Amino acid sequence: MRSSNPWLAWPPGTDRSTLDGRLRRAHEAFLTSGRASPHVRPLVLDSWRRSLTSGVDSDDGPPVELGDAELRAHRDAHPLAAAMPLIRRLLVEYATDVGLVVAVSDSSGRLLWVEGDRALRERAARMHFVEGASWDEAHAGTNAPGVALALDHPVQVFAGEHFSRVVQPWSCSAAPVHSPLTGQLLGAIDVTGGDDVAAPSALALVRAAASAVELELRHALPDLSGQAYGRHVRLRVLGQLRGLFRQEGGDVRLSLRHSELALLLSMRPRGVSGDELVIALHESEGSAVSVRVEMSRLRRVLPDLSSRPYRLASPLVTDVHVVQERLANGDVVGALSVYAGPVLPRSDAPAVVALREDLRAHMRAALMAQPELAPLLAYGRMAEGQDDVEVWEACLRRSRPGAAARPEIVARLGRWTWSTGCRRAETSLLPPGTYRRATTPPPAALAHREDAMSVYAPPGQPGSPVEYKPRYDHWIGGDYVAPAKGQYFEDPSPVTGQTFTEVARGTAEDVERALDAAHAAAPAWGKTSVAVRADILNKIADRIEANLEKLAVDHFRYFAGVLRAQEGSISVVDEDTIAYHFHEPLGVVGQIIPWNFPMLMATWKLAPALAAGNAVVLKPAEQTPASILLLNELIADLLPAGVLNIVNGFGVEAGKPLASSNRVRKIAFTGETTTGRLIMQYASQNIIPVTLELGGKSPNIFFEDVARARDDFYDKALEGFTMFAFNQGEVCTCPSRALIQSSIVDSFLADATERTKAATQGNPLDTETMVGAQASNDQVEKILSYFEIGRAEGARVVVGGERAHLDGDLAGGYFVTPTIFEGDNSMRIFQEEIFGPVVSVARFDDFDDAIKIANDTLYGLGAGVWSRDLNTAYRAGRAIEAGRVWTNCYHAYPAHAAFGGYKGSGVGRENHKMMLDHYQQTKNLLVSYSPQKLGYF
Amino acid sequence: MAVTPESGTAQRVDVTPEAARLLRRLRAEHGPLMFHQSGGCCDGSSPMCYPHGEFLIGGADVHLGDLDIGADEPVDVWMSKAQFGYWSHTHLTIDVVPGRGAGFSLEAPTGQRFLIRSRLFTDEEAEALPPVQGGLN
Repeated sequence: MRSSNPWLAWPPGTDRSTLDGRLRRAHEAFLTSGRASPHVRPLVLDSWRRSLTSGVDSDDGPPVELGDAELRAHRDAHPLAAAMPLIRRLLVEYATDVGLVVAVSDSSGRLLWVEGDRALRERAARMHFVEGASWDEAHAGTNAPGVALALDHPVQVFAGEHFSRVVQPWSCSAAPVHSPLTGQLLGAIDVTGGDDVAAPSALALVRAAASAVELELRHALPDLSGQAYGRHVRLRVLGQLRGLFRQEGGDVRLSLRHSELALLLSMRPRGVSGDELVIALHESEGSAVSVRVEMSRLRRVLPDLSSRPYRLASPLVTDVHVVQERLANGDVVGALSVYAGPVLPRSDAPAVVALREDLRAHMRAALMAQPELAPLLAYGRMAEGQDDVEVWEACLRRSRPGAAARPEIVARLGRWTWSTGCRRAETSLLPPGTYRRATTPPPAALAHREDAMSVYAPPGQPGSPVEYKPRYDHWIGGDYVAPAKGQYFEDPSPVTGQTFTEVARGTAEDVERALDAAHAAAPAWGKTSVAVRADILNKIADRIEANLEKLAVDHFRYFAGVLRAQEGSISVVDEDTIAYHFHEPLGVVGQIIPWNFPMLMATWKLAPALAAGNAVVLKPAEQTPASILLLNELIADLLPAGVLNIVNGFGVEAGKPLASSNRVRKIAFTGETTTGRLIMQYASQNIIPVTLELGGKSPNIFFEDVARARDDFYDKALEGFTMFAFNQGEVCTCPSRALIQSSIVDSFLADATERTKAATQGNPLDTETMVGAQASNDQVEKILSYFEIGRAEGARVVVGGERAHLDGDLAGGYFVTPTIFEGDNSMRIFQEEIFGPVVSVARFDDFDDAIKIANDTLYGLGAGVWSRDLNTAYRAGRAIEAGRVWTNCYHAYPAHAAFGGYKGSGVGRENHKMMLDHYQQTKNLLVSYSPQKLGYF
Repeated sequence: MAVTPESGTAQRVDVTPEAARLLRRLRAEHGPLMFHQSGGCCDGSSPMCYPHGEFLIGGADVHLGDLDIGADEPVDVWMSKAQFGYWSHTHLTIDVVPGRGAGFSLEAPTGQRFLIRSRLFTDEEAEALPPVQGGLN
């Protein structure tokens, strides 16, 4: 008769000699013929099988692995050392009295402490039951600590159940001990002696002792639940591109591969085989070898790493453990305070990716489940929460009207899709006259926002802004169309570097297909009444307003409005001869969009082209395709199929076939001068018009009267100076040359420098941030190369001039400190668009000097003039050769004001009613109403 | 890596070994190559690499030099004459960095971007510089 509890060794009602005899015969039979006796507990049989497989000598004790010095070092470092006083009090004192041995092992089964009855210990030593010996199953065969560790469960092993005959005179009960903080297996507590130890009460005793030890460890072990966890965490991987490992003598940055290996080992305290690691890391050829090589290198950092399987003798606490522990304890706020970002965001090892996603999902679920606003808000402000509309919606539900964070939440919700997939927060394109991001919407907008919340389509449904698809094809003829060559490219987030979607890599074949669709749609679209087209544009605006941000909305509404008001003209040539002028669409037009404000730049081009009745083939920048595709998804059902077609891909592969096609009637491009020239060259072959916006080196002129008083105007002028850092300087109109009148330059520049230094630099998606990260590595490299040449030419660095290094999850970001140079207008930093937060300051003596310097440039896109004297301001504005002169303001872009460049800055204008003309042909009917012949013939 | 030697004269443009390696790769795919140095917005100030003859050079451009990339023919480097007015005192080296997108430049799909690194000419170099030639009208 067997006990119903498989972990107990001695079935009730069985006498010792009967049991002993049965086990002896069963052991004999097992060793000689492999036969399994029904009298042996299945878990013991399994252990025997494992022992046999491991090659355990059934007539010998296990090896002693640790020498004295190693043993002492290992014991001192082991977390169970802290529990030894308790173990002695609970078990050892009693064991000494009643004749037992108490052993404590590490998680590998190595005995670290063997205490208790002295005589018994001497006997036990003969079978190598001594400190430093390995009593895991693989070395010692079936025994209580070995099985308890193998099965992670308290268990007792009766005399004849031991695999090795030398152990068979003994019985033992053992229980595993776990870290109460991380759940990691720390080791086992074992009581060894005669038959009494196989009694049920003995198992209860070690279980109770193990529980008491775990409780004790809660106080003695690193307190991961409090603020002081930091010194116990030896490996940080959250938000770290590569793991940060703490060791004596300071922190070291591990390689990514070592970070992954150390993390996997820390997560698998019972060990992991080389083959498992290969799978976990997704190594391909020759991988088992390379894992072995890496592991032996890793041993320099983790000396207690043993092999076969690979495992760490003492637990390696990571910040992941802390988060897991706190989440398990319901301490969401505490968990969030440690959650600095995703687990090793650069790693693509499957096991790390799975852990990253698992932790992210748990963190998010716990935050969504708790009722407070503050933690959710904090999460939403993190990189991974920025674009999580559900999180921000939950924030909105939890915030009272009037709460301090309310405007931010509403602003985020109103803008979030604009930010995702863009290289920066487009939120920074400000309403006129404000520099810090306006975050307080009017009450009406707030109410509207909440109404709109309820109409969001679920993720994956048409019109849903909730998430990006994993892959985007081209949008051609009202449908997603896979690229002809079947290729896609990755779209990584600039914030984390993680690819969040992949996008079709288009070629000439795809462009042709899009042109086919556009040509099919253009005739009917061009003949729709202006009322219908204006209505569709208004509906697009409504749809965007309900989901995205207002700035684009106004451009669609503006062109819906001016379209209705546009009229042709009638010229009376003479009494009987009338010239009628009609506006007609061009037909099919091509548009190439830049990366710096992808959605707004697309809107600037799309709204007038659609209003005028054209069908469009649009190519987004390869750096920023996703947000335009998201916008399209939102409005796709409003436009007839083929009216808007989007072909994605690289400039040379998709942009060039579009720009050089003889099937477009116009091409619009925003970018730089060489590509602008190339596009004109292609256009010349097809004799089509172009509009080009090619950037600038905009002067921002401060006349001396600005400093006449230290009032609001002066403050506004200082802000106007600092606008060079707006959008990190990645704006075509960046006021990158500040010209300051000599009489005020010292004091004004000092004040402007203070204002610049006060700019908050940080996460681009945080509304408190004024200056975010540059778009990409290559942009940073370019900016740094300008710092070099600026210094070499003798410009003085007033402030900045270096790469900025931010903390936490922004540590790897592309940050450049806002920089002021002072120098001469002939220097290259005064002549080239750096596209970074860099301003070059020159002084001028008088009005004429100011205009001369301002116009000494290849470009003429924007300019700023600051003066209290309106005559001065007016004359300066007229004298500057630039398409837009902001006067006592800067960086405002209303739909109702024409925007475009003089000189090298391009051809044509954007915005304003005149844009309709840029997308229209003029048809003239010259009609004679006279019945009389001319009389010539 | 040196530019085409014209003995006794200083060179205006140079290319790093890494950029030359990428250029050889692009040459294998696209044939002989040329550069035109860009200015202005977004991808501006980048040297744009095209199949030779793709970009029409004219009297508005100047020839800065020829890069020897170890191919049969050199890669000629051009810049608009107006831009050269502001750049003429600096020596340019075409380098390459990880990046994406540069107009219609050929390297864009490779995940790399050409980048201009600049330094001032030394006095000796400035003396030894040959005059630049314009393109044909």
